[in-house]
Amino acid sequence: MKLDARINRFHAAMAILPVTIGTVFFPVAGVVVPLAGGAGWIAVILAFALALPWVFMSIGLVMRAPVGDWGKAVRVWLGPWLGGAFLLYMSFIWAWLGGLLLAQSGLVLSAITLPDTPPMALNAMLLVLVVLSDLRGVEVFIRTLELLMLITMPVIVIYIAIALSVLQLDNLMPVLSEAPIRIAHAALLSLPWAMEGILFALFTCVHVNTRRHLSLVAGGAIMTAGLLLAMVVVLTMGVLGRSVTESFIYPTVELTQVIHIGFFLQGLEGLLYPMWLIFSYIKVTASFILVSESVRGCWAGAKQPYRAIVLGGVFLAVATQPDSFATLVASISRVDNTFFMLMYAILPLMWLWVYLKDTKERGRDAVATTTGSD
Amino acid sequence: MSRLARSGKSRLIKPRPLKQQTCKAGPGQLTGDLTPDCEQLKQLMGTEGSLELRLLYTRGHHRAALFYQAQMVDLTQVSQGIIRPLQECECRIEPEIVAQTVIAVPTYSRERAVVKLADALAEGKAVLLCDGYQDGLILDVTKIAQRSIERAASEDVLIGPHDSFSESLGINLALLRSRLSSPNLKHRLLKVGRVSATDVAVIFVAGIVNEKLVKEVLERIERIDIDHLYARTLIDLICDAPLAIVPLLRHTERPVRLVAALMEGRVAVMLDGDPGALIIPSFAPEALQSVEDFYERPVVATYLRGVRLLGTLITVFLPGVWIAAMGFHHGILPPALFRSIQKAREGVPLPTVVEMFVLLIAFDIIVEASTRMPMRVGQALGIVGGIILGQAAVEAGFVSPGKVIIVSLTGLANFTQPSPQLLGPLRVMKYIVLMFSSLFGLFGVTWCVILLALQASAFRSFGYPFMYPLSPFAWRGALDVFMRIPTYWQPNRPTLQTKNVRRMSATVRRQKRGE
Repeated sequence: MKLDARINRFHAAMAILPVTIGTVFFPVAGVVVPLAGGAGWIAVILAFALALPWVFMSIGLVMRAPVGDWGKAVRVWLGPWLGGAFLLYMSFIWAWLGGLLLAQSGLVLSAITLPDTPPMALNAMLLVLVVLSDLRGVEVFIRTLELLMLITMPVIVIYIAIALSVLQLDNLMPVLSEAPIRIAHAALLSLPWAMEGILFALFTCVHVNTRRHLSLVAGGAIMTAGLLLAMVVVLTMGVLGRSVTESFIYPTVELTQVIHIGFFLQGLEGLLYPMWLIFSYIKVTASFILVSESVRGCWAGAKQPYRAIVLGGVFLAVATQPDSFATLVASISRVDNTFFMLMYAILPLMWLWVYLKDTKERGRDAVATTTGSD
Repeated sequence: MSRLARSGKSRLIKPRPLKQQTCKAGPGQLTGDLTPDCEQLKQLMGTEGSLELRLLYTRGHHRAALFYQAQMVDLTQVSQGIIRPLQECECRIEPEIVAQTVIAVPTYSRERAVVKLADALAEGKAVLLCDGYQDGLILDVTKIAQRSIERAASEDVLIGPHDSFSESLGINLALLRSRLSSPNLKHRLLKVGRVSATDVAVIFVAGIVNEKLVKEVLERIERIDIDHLYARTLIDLICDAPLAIVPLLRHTERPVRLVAALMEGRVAVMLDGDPGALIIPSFAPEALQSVEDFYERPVVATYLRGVRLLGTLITVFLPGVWIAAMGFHHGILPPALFRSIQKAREGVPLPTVVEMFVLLIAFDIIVEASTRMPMRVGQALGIVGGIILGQAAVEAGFVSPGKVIIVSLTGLANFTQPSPQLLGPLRVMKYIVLMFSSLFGLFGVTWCVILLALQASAFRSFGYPFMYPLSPFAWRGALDVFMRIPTYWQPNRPTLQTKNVRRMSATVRRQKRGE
């Protein structure tokens, strides 16, 4: 008996928000500031605002999908062959990205806090949680996200409040120091992050029972994530200054190490490690579950727990590939800027296809009704 | 050992019913002839126990046999309400006439099956067989020595009602009805246990409760097929995840708490012999709420809830975080603080982690020992163990004073829990977190946090998410977890999918606002 097993719009928003922010929280300033300078935060907001039509298109697709089954929803949109190809593509890009994010978590945490522990051990530990989450299912993952949000939100608020107290406005000036083309370039680099959120929103909203105003909810969640990321850029720039921000891959880590809280903790480092792990868990698990559900959509014979175990092996294999931060960052950029950017073209085509199919079917139904009544 | 048993399949075989419980023991029915009927009943009950058989002769020269267990009945009622009226009776002793006009017993029933009569005797009732009639009378004259209504031992409070449930289901139901005297308070009685035939009451408030929930509770209880039922077995057999570290069904000794739960649309299950009731469904965040909160001012109660939350976090995470900070991330501590802690540790032979484990286990031993001891000895033991032993250990250089402070704080924080069922699970969780933090520092602590969140989200209490109202998130409910909200701000019951969600009229709220 499941008396209260429902995912509503609010729960979906609570899931989309942290997945969109994910581990982008840490490198965002390092990516946009070198290109856009003081206007880095504008570039982030611009990217997320530009992505809004794609959010609405995704929700347009969701409106025409059955509730609760991702594989079936894709097949309803695209038919068996095209749907299967789309599911395979989704599995491929999310498995690649998820594996790399897993590697990133191990590398970063090993480097900044556990130098004696091999990154692979940390990756394996995180993967255990990820596989367990997949075994428990989508609903439990969304419930877990809600709980983790309750833990992380106060931490983020504390982080922002303390960083604001030491922020120097001079560091943010001049706001428009770079040419518009460079700001546009920074926005372009931020677009894949928005697309990650959109694809997860597409997946999550398929499981939502009540679909009224769903596009507003999904759009709101993704735009909020964009605003929070923009705020991180402002804080990092405002505290560290442009030159220091540019010199780090993960400037947020540096930011936590320079801020001192009163006379007690030396910095916000104590909050950083848990936050990094929680955000990594959120993003990698979102990727894993999306891959798992896509694989199930392609091949119904892939049953649990074998599916989760095999996919765990795949993620771990991908995570072994990058051996340094440079290769890791290059690999993530490659996946983001090619495969995820490609979705900006694929989603409108999908939406158009589904819309035309729908219109055609409605026309056929109208003709049948008219003929019948005659 | 048979092959079947060796392969482990024997576990699937249904337990064999006991001989005396079935009709196969004899013909099964009363014959109407007193002598063989008495023999049948004596055979079934055995003669070794306290079974009494009185043969009675009435003035009208009729015969009857009265069976009872001497230690389980009210002997005054038996002699004055049954034996004397029967001896003085001049009319025919037909069971129905006897019950209605002769004897003075408020509750009776007629039964023909000998097994049922034996069951009644085992429950402490008296059985009257009348010569020439095939019906026996079961007379409720039970009087078993009971504990009186006392203070709740495990859920004691400073303010608010102090009464608690006892071991008798009848007294407990009466206590509940005295608190909630409404015809809508319903209970369904079930008998569970092939040997014990334990009485189980499923209690709910009609019109408020979700009927699907009542149906589910009844179905789960009716499915139980076991020899003997006691509270722990019942919880294991009906809860959603018996292996869960945290209790998924809440047990309360306090009638006032049970009434509040019933009025929120929950179902209660009471068991004869168990001094308490199970609340179905139960949610984890409620563990922070105490009965006292509802007798305190909202601000004070909110503060106390915060203290309990902090206490819970300290119990589970403080030793782990301490080990992580000292062993892996001492950079996050101010150098002066770190130096002072290190200086205090000089000369301690044990590694930090081992020292922490040893101290925590020593503390748990002291707690367990003082719990099992009589109250005054327990207090003395606590003082000896906690203060003298701790002081001696520090002076001897076995442990550092910093660790003693951390362990004492952790131990004390554990007792801020209003729910006694959570004391044990929190203690166990503390060791799990400590183990991972000693291996991976704050990574290990956070790993445990995520695992706890994941597991807690996966648990269900009779189909309802265990972490409600935090997950699935519900604003009003979530606020009530951390704050004691004034009653007039909570016009609705928690969302348990009941049709009747409103518990307060709009008029009361308007009057409160002075409109």
